Amino acid sequence: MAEKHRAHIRRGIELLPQLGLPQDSALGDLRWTKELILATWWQALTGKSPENIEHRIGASGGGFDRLDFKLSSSGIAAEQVSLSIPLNRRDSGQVTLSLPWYGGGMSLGSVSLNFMLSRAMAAKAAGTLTSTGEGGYPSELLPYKDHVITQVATGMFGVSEETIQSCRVMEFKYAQGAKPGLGGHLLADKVTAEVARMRESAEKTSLYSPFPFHSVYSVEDHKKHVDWVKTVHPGVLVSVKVSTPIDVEMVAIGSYDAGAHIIHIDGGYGGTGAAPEIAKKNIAMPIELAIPRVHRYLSSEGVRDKVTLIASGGIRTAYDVAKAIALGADGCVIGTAETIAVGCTHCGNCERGRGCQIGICTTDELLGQFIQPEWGARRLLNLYSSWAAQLRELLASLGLKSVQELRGRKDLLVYRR
Amino acid sequence: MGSTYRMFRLRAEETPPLFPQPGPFLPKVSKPGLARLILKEALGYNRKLLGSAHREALLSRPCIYGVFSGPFGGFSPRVEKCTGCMRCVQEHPEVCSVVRNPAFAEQGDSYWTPTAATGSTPLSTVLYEAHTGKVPVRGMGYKGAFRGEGWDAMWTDMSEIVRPTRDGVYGREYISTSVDIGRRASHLEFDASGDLITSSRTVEIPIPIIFDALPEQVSNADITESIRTAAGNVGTLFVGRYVQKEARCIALAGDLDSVRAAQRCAAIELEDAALLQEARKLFSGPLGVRLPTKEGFVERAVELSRTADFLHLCADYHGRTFESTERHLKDALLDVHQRLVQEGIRNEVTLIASGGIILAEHIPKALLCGADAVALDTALLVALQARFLGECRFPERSAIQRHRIPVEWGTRRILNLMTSWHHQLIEMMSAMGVREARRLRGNVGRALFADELEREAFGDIQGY
Ligand code: SF4
Ligand code: SF4
Repeated sequence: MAEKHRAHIRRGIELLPQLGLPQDSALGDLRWTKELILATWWQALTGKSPENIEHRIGASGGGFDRLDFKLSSSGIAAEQVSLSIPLNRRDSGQVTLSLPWYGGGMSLGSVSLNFMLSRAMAAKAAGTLTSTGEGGYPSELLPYKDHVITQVATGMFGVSEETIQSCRVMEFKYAQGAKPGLGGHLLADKVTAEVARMRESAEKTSLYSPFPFHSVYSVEDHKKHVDWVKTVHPGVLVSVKVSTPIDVEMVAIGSYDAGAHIIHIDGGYGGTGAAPEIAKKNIAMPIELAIPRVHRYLSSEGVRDKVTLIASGGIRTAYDVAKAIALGADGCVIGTAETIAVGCTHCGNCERGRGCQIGICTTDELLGQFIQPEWGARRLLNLYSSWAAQLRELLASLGLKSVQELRGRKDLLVYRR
Repeated sequence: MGSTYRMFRLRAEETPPLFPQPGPFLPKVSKPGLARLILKEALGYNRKLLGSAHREALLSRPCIYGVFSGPFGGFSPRVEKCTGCMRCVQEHPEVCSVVRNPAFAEQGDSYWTPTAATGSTPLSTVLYEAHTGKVPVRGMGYKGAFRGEGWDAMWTDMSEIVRPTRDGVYGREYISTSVDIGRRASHLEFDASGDLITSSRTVEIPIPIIFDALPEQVSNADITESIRTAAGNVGTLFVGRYVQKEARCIALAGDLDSVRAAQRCAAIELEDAALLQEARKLFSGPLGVRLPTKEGFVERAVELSRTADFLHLCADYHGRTFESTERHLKDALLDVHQRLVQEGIRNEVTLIASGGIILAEHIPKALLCGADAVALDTALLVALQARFLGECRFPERSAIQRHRIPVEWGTRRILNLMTSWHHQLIEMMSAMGVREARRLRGNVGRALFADELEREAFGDIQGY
């Protein structure tokens, strides 16, 4: 039965970008428009930009959707443009990404193991990273450990000396943009035997990740937390993931002082497995507004070149990545774009009943089979290569040889009213 | 006194709609297409039909929400069950389509239905809350506009580390949502024997929400009674006319006779500020003035704050002031609050704000902009499934379709709405790290204003 539906779904998402959908189709919303979704499916299928589908901006009417680049033609060939970024700017032991983005935390339980594997395979093949999210480190990920970020969040689910040693980057998640200031909540239905084992808890009981860390009430406490991780795994890079409050720049400098290599700011409009609608819409600022603030402050404190600033929370396209970098980030973290690549419709039903109807955010046995790791990885890699080509072309036409030269170049942007 | 920190809880109870409610999505199936599909599938599986697994596969349909599992399957889909997941379209793009339901976008008025492209509107949110009493929770990120006007032109803050945890969930600190209405003494006085002689004219309510009086055209006896009962059950107040012994009522009084008649009420709200001095002689409880946001209301508010215990600042039902250059209630509030602070009298008077407070998020936002409490109007009507006739913007010029509702049903719907909003208020306070609703008032340091932030982020970008 899984086979039948799997075949149908695959065929459908391959056909739909060409067939198109009626004007009043229920697919899409203002952030992820129908066109952006179809364009992402097309790129995940072909590895190329679509010709007749709007794939640069959505319809949110602000932020990235109003920004554009001042293009000119330069003598630079797209193939010469470098997209790699270093993650460590403060001490020895470099981790270099081939692309200026990596995969954000999605925990086992909130997504299926198959999809996690797709992401890890794609990260390895593309020379970037993916994050475990806060749900433990399934042993199936071990072959990809050089491309895995282990997340430490407030529930400390699945965090052990062993998992800390099996990663290149440790991500301390203080807050998530979509539900800043609120903890995580995995509904009982999704806590299968496998998930419970990973999280060292009982099957079919709701799991809360409290907010905040109950052992961290100050930057000093955070520093001790970091020291512990560095003792267990001396070469590991430390990333601090925070949301975007009004004083986000103070949080950033505090994190830097406590030893962070990466400051990861997650804006309010990012994805999540489940969160109160009121939090997503209203709490903390959109990422577009936070990036320049943090970039400026870190620069004025003289540490901008000693730390990597990563932005996430509503990065949908290669153009969003470029805009975030021009506003002052070094790179981005993506999540929803990856789920869309494997067929997600941004319908928001992830937490309902059996979970995602096409097997992304689910622990349902039947539904979880819809996505096979290799197929998913292929789709993600295609998306990545389409994005990389778009980015190279864009940078070349801006006269830049490396994505690193784009950082903070607001002068290359225009705001379209 | 001890009552202040009593754990406040409301209990929700599923209260389904009385009248049919169109959903946001309309799944459509092409009948000839479906017939062809079934035939093709049957033929394809022909030889394997004997095995039960295959029969199951043959019969299994794409919708996991039961839209196609009625007696006639896809020939007569149960559209009301559709969640807009689009799987049927993904599986059978030639046969299925799912479009936005025009009937969904036509409900309410221009304030209640800004856009249906996000799958929800303020109207559907309130209907859900009144039905279930739950906090609306969805997967994936925010689907709406980058920013909007009025309440949508601000965000609320969060604190990364230091905050209280949510009560109930993690069982730690209690977050109080109580506020007071009335005048608090600026200092305490004692008599020679050491007894307290200062008395405060205040009433405490457990949530910073009261229910406003609705003019006749947008109300009826059942609605009024439901609101009255719900106010009692929540422990908050309602503003009402022609009431005598209503302990949970703020009596709306247009003359001194009404003031005399309202002796037992919790408070009195005068429609005519000129009555203040005389009314003070007749009533010892909190005495306030209803102040529509017309030309010059800011100065008027400053003036009245010296004598009135509370001011009820009213905008229209779309949250706009009645000035010739109208503005949003949020800006009106910020203005009044700041002027009162400048005059050094902000702590003496309670500011109630009303007009278009229709979503849970509007409450902490109104408080951050300077209100102590808010009063609800059309949100109550929508919870009770009242149908607007045209735009419902100016209280005296709006109308609703009249139908009767059981008061018990109406009371439960409002209680559910308050249960849901109370939880959402706690979510937002918890995120801000604020443990007391009283401390939200005028706390602009915890408000993020879109205009300012955009100017700061994009001001130096060409074209901004
Ligand atoms: S339930 Fe909907 S939004 Fe969630 S992952 Fe599946 S398709 Fe995407
Ligand atoms: S969109 Fe989803 S819920 Fe609606 S009919 Fe299709 S499969 Fe069912």
